[in-house]
Amino acid sequence: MSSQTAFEPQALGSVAIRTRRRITGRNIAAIVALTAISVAVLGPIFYTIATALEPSPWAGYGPDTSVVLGSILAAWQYGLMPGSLLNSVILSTSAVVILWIVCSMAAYAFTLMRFPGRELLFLLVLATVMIPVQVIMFPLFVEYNDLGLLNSYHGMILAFVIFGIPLTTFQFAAYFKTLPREILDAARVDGASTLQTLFRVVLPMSKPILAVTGIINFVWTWNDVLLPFLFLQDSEKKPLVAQLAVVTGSQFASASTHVLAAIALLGFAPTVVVYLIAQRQIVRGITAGSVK
Amino acid sequence: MSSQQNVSRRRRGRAKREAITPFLLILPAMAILVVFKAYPFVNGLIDSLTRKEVFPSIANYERMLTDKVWLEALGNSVKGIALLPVFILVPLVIAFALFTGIRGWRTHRAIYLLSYLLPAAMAGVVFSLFMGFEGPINGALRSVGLEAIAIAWFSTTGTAMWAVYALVLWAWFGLGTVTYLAALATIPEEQFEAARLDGATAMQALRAITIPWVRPTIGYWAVLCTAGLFLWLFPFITTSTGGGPGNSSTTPEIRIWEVFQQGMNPNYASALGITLFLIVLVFSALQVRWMYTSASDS
Repeated sequence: MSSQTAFEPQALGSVAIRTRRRITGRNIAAIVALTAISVAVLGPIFYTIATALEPSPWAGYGPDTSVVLGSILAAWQYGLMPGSLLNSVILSTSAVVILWIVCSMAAYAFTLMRFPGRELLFLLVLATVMIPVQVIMFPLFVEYNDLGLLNSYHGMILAFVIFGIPLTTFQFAAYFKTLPREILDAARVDGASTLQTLFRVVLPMSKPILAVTGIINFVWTWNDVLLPFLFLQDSEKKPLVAQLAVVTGSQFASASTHVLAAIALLGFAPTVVVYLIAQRQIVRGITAGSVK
Repeated sequence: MSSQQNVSRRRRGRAKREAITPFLLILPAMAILVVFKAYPFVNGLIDSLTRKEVFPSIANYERMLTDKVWLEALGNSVKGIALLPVFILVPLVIAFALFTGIRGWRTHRAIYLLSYLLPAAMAGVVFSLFMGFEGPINGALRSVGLEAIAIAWFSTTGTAMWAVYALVLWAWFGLGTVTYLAALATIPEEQFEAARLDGATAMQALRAITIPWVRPTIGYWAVLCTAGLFLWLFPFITTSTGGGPGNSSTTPEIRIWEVFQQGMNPNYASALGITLFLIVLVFSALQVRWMYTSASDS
């Protein structure tokens, strides 16, 4: 069973409808339980919004929180908006694009070409998923320092790429396996070079997996705080979530429930907005590759 | 004659180019992994076995045995592992319920996934408020007369770690649910048809068809959760408890970060990192095997 055809909401719907049973007591209990779980997910989020918008007394220092939207404005200042949002967009987008190029090339060679050592090298690439940043924190930091990569955008993007390669290569490889060989052979006969075949024939046929890897890499790089904590020292260079996470430890912010809530709201907002727009694609992207 | 030679030379040239093409394609990925993963890994291994310029030495590893914070951190991870059945079963049961095609299942699925997509560090902030001393959870407890247990969940020694795990479950169960649902969606409909014709009840169909079908996915999700409990809690903890009070919610990765930040003993920090690697080796090796097999056969 290929992993890409696996998740089709429509298919799930049809299976579901046919197995649907009439409304029974058990059915009603399930509806109540599932709704309760949805409330449990949304409750903390709505509480955060309400708390962030509530007028709050001013502590006497820092931004005035007693005015309308005062806590939000304080969080906006602490979060170094809109610069930090721009940092997030730049860092995540760059990481996504570089991972697309690097990993699709590698996966193409590993799945659609023959060369000595192919199996072993592919296994080694996947096996590096076993070395997360926590394991090599100190030596990698020293290496970054020696190479002058600390505290720079390119160093930060490189860090995201380093830790994104194994999974993204795997996802491309699993997808390329399902492509019809005839089309690749046809491109070959037409005299297309390998790179031409990859970029003009294979990748245009790979929109689903480009979406999947794009979404997954965008989400984790957007949300990550450990790598930015490690490799970016200047607040002005930090992405939004990392900057907000640092601020929650400061005494100004942590003194006020309302400001903390506003900080969380600011950190949530971009994700929620994007999710509302592209929910269907995101659900599909997150789950593809998890089914064999 | 000469033109034929030219053709064959050109052909040989092309064959040679084709022979190195796959290596050129994998070069960027391989180079990055060798320089920024394998090399620091070997360095860390050597560092961890070096003590006061003496190599090899297991002094750094011996020190771990008397590092109370590290031992407490390991104990906190054991608590998480003890909760694995919850992390595995909660999404599974929810996925089964949604799979019956119950009214509004799409909406529920979309809502459940939202808590996974939100930045973990921000979820930590939210929960420290939501389950804070004056937060709504405690408000509800007080309103039903349970004032005795309306405590500051994230800043009480006995509850901080469990509160973090509650937060993590909140954040992850939606991913587990959609993962299981994706597997359920691939069950051939004929199997259900056949079961119905045979007069099987819904429960029998669940046991005979559905559960065997999702068993590999349960294994996949269990491996993912185990790795995650060791390696992905940093953002949740750093903004909710910070590892406290005391070290009561410090996990190995938090301890490694602390030792790193103190900057006093890189060799010891590397020994902790290598130990964490050894702990998750089995789970992550399973993950690699799963990836390798599912990308190799089609």
